[in-house]
Amino acid sequence: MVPDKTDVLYGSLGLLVLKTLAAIGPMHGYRIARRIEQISGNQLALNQGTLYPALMKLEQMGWIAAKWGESESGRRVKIYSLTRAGRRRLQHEEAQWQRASGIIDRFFKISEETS
Amino acid sequence: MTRTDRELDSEIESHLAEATEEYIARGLSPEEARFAAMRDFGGITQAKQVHREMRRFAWLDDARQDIRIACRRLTKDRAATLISMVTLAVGIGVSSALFSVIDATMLRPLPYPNSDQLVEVMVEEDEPDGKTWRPTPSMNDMRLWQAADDVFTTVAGWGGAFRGRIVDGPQPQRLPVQHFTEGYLTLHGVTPLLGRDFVRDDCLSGSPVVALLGYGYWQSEYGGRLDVLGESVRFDDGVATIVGVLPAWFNADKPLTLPLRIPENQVSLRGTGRLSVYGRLRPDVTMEQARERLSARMPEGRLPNGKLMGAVRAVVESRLDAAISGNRTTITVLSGAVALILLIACVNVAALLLARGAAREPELAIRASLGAGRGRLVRQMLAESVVLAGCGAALGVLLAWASLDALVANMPLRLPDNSPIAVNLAVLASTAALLIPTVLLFGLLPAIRLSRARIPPALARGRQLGSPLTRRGGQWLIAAETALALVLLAGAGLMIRSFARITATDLGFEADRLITMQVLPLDRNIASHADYYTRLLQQIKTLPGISSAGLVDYFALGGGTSYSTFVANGKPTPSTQFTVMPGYLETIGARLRDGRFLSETDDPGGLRGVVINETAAQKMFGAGAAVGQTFSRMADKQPPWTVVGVIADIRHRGPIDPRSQGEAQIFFPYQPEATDRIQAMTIVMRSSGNTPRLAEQLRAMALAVGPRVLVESIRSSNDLFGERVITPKRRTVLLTLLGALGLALALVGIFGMTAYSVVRRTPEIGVRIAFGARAGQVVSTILRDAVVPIVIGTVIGLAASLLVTPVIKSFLFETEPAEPATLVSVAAILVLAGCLAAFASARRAARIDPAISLRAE
Repeated sequence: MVPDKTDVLYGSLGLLVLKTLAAIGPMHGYRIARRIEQISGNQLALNQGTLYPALMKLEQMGWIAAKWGESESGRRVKIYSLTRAGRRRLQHEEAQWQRASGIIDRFFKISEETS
Repeated sequence: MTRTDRELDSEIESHLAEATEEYIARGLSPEEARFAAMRDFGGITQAKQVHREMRRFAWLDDARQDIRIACRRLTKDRAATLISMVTLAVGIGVSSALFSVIDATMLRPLPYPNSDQLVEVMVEEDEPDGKTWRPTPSMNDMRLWQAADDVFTTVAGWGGAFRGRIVDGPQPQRLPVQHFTEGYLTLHGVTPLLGRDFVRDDCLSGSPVVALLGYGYWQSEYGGRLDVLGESVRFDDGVATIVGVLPAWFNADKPLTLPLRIPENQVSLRGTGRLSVYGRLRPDVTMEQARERLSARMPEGRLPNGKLMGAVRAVVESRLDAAISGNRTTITVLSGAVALILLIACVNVAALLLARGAAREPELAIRASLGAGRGRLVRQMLAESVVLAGCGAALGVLLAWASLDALVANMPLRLPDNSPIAVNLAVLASTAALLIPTVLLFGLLPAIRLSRARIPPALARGRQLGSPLTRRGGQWLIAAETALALVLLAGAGLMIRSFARITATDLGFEADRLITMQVLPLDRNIASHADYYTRLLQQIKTLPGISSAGLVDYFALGGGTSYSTFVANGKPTPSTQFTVMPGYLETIGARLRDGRFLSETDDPGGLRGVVINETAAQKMFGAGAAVGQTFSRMADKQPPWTVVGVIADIRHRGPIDPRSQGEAQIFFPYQPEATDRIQAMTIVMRSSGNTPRLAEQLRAMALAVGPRVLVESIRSSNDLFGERVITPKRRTVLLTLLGALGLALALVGIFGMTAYSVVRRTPEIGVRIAFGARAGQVVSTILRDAVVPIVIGTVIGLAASLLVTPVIKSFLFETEPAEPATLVSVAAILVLAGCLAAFASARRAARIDPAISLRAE
């Protein structure tokens, strides 16, 4: 594993999945994994296997829906899409995330000022 | 491997294939590409494991959460929860109790190994007139069947001793005794706890008499001593050696068992009533085959004059069927009544859940709009029902367990001898099985209905709910409950009506305030008995509070009879016969129609006078006057008897027995020689009713008069009458109890639904009161919502009753199952009670303060 890649923050994978689906639309598991890696500019080392439990959790919460379909290369894959509840959830999480990261940002600024 | 597991596998496989393809496109070799893809994926097994665990936890979490929420909600609404739980407990409790009874009486009435092989073997003879009859088999018949080892593995005979045996001792005691032959225990798979079973020799006349002790008697009389074998039981007419002790579960009510013996000169005699035969079929033999094989072997019957009798067959009947069939109607009726109660309970709880649920409609609508799936909402509401039903069932089983003994003691059923009724595992399993439809019935329907809550209607209306469907739904539930309760009440009403007719039946004598004492002098000189009874009667007549006394061999209501055939003017007439001392007929208040009662001078050595009843007079002498006429006992060399009086018919067997009607009865003066030495006479007294300690006085007097006396029983005629009508009485009490339970549950339901209706319409009522509606108007508006369905339900219930009540036709005494007066009165009671319940609840509407209710808007 490349040493300077950041591990996906615990609990944030779900948010990344929701955001990815919101931005691009329905897609299958492998595409989602690649997409997250690509958007992060390959800075995130996604342990792709952990994606599937996360997808299941999201499905259970009713935020995403899954149905069987075909990949671009004709394989049988599950295609995930965002539900309306998922979209609301995403808005909520995004706002939360921004507030949280804003706060943390401010802390870093403070520490810069004092140092 | 579950479906989800397979799906995950296939999904991961696709993922890896896609990734591999991409790496190949980037120029890696297939192997390298596959490896890279796997590396990116991380641990496949691990991923699957995490997936699986999360799945499980999600389910568990949900369930735990559902139940937690359900419990919180239930404890918050304490009154409604309590009512639902008690309602369910009653429903499930009566069901469990009934299951226990069904389990013992219908499922395993014969708790012996392979009880389906157990049969009763009987003889059937063709009569010259084309009829058939079944005399009890002869000993020879049984020996013949015992030899048929191609049909049976074991055959054994048994017979109860009609009068029991008198066991000697400082205080002589009459004990019920069971008789059976060798093989009887083997047949039932029983081995003696101590000692040995009977063998063939024990059953032969002339060999030493042996006895088996019942477990209870062994414990009480012999202190459960292990060295009891070889000791003697002393009867007043002989001795038996104890050879064994029976296990506790077998024939516990029989203190003593003696070998069944038939005197040598009677072994070929059928119809003695002293022998019944049981057999165990070989496993490979059917009932039908057994019947054919045995019948082919039955010897031809010949009359004493050598003429051939009609055909003789062996009849083989399943004992299991026989044990079950006698109780089938009662069990069916009870099951029906209990099912109705359970249904009412379910409707009640459904109504409560719906009512509470409707108040939650806005909340549910919000949750639905926030994305909660409908399935999840239904599940959460079902959780509430499951918790309710679970607690209700636990309470119910406790209730059944606590009330079972009292219930069993009063069951109008023939209870199996050796299969005790208890709440056992099978019963618990049935109760659990019953819970599933119960929960579905009262839980799922409201849950589904409520889960349809939609934002616009539910939220827009806000607190002024009153969605018409719910109101109509509530009314339907009230109607349903009323209808169900009416069916139960109709049954109860008919039983009560019928029982009232039983007790009002004219018995032909005054059965009130009579005291009876069965007493027997243990003097072997039977001629001295007359002297004993005469002296005892004289003394009893001096007791304060006793206005008259007499003596009879078989007291009316006491059970027991004897018959004979009498010949008047050359015509034979079968008749019941009684032996009485002068004063008996006067004491019981028999009604003299002609002539006079018996006097001292009518004795067999004197005038030879008898009193007969109207039926006997009619049968023997036709329409003419009977007094002064004579008749003889058939084949009796003694001089004829002269009729000195005619009395009205006496219902000797009590009011219900159909044989009580039109029974010829002849009352002979007492003659000791004509009675059985161990047959105790009954002294009958009429008391003033205020005679405390009479029983003690009588007992002391009976013992004081004679040297050695057995006082068998001192009973009041009311007790005896009660015993005669015990089965209809128990049926009536049971069905009345169930009817009352049904009514109570229905009233609770009506009260609850109306209360809910008041709560639901509080804002509306507030507005109306604010605009000047009077209290009466407000209450009647609410009341109308309940009264209309009560009336509709009553009408439906009446119609249903007409369909259902014929089931209890055989329970009814001179009462039609569709008797209009009874049905109309129970309907009236139900409507009245229902309206009162609704009114009690609706009254609260008048107390609504518009200021408060409107502020809440």
